[in-house]
Amino acid sequence: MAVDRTERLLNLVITLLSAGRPVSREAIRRGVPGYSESASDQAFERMFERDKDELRSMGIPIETVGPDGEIEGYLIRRNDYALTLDLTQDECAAVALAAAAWDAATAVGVARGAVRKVEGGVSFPAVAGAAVAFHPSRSAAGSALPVLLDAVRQRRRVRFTYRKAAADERETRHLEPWAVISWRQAWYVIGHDVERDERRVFRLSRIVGDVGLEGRGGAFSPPDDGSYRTVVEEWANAEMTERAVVDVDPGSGARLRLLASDEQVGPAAIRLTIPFRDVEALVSEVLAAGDGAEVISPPYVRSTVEVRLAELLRRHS
Amino acid sequence: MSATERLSRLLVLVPWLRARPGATLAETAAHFAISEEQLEADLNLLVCSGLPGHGPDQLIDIDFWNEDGSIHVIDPLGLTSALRLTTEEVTALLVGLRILEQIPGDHDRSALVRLAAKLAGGGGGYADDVIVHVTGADDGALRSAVTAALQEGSGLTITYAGAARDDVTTRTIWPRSVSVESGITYVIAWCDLAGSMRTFRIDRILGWEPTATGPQPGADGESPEDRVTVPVTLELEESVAWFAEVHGGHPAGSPGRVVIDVYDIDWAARAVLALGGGARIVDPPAAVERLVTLAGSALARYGGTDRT
Repeated sequence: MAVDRTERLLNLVITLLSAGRPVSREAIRRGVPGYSESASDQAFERMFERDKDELRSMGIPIETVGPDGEIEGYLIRRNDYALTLDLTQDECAAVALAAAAWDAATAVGVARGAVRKVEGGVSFPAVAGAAVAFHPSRSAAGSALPVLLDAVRQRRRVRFTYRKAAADERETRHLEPWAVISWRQAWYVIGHDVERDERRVFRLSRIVGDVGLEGRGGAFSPPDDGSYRTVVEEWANAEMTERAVVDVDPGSGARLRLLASDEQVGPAAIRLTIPFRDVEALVSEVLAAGDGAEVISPPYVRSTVEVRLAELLRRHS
Repeated sequence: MSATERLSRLLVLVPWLRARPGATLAETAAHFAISEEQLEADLNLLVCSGLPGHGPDQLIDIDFWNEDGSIHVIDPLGLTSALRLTTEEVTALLVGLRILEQIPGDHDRSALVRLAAKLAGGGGGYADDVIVHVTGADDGALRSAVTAALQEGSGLTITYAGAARDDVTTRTIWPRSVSVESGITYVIAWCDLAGSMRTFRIDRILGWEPTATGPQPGADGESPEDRVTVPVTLELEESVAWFAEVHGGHPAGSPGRVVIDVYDIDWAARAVLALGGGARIVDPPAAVERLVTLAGSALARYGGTDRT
């Protein structure tokens, strides 16, 4: 029976974890199911190298042991592998709550694995008992966030396509990212804009497509003066706010009413003025209100909602 | 599901089960958000894995063929701990903790502080590069007042700014929970003025005072545990896959399909509307009908009328 990749990787991890001493390549090829079927030396080498890389990218510490550049073998030291946080029950509950907070703010799934790992070491569940609920942000950080965090940590330049406010123009930007900020309802990245040669702030929800990492790590040094927070606060407050006018039926659109800065009660509906910076988040709220709300202005928001409704109906017909 | 995703689960399954002798197939599958069939496939793979030779004492030994569905780990073969947290995982938790610091609520703050220290002490994480500021975080005194009210079951008399500038009301509220959405903090409370549960934005509470009077009878709101759930099957595109994760969806057989247990079909219809087209309700028909009614009537409002 052929050994599938997961099984081969699992056998490799167990072998390297249990061995008291480095395991040589030959021993791995002979003994770990899934490798001995390799058609040639090159096939084995390629397979083994890919497997090692993948396990290391999961955070599994495979150590290469060998004196003077010669490789004697490989092993995983238990102390480097094992989770040793040693948490109490209330700290485990805090893990669950922190994971929920992260999920809601970013919709990036990396915290769930952490909760499971933490639970693996204790006999009680990691369950938050607090009366705080986190709901996913309608303008969550998206896939740009993990890449940007990586770039900030490694001090690597990034490239991305950016949509300018209130328009559909897109341009490519190159940035040396210093920090990622979550401010009020949105995520931002601050750094040195290479083309403009000045400090700039970008809103993550306007990054279109993937963020690309460029060049090498350690390419720049962020200024150390702790000024980011103030700069982002000023920028976020000055950021152009658009205003939408949305009619809601009495008894409907409770969430839209919470977001509104003004309400005018009319004969048939309540006319709300809603300030917004993120059109996707606003559209999402209007759609959720169903037939109880109608966008009056600006025209591009009105037509976006109309198009989405038509698409939703088409998908459900 | 990729090989590494499945491997991650397999590596944590053994220590997790070992720490919970007698856990059943049903409980375990539910906890890992997989089907029982998938769990059995995982367990079958585990017991065929081990050290070179695969002789006796060289394979993982797990007993899961009991009538009551209980699982016992007999030989974990070295998989006695979970894998350590990656830098990304530590960062995510530290950022989550930072958000929690800024939110009122009865969550145990000393536990947050101790956890942060343990995570940071592990040397991982680069949460310093992430700055977090949550709306409503500015007023520490208000945060404490809401937290105290939540913990004691007491009330606050507040002046609240409604949407229109001259719409300021005074009312007494008894906070029941706190909700954070899109970075805005909301207090869900029984309101004496409305005579029912209401949601308040914390940054519109202009003034407050603790109140000594008790809440109205019946001011407990609904208890979610008493409500029955309905399974709703959705088809999700990759871009909205997070929706299933956040709402505890279980895989439903075909790729991209998940089942989510909801209290209210109307909620499910509106949630899918809010996703704007990236998701489709497959089942039950009542949920599809509700969405079609809401969307159809909404679309009719946009048809043809000249609005100036």
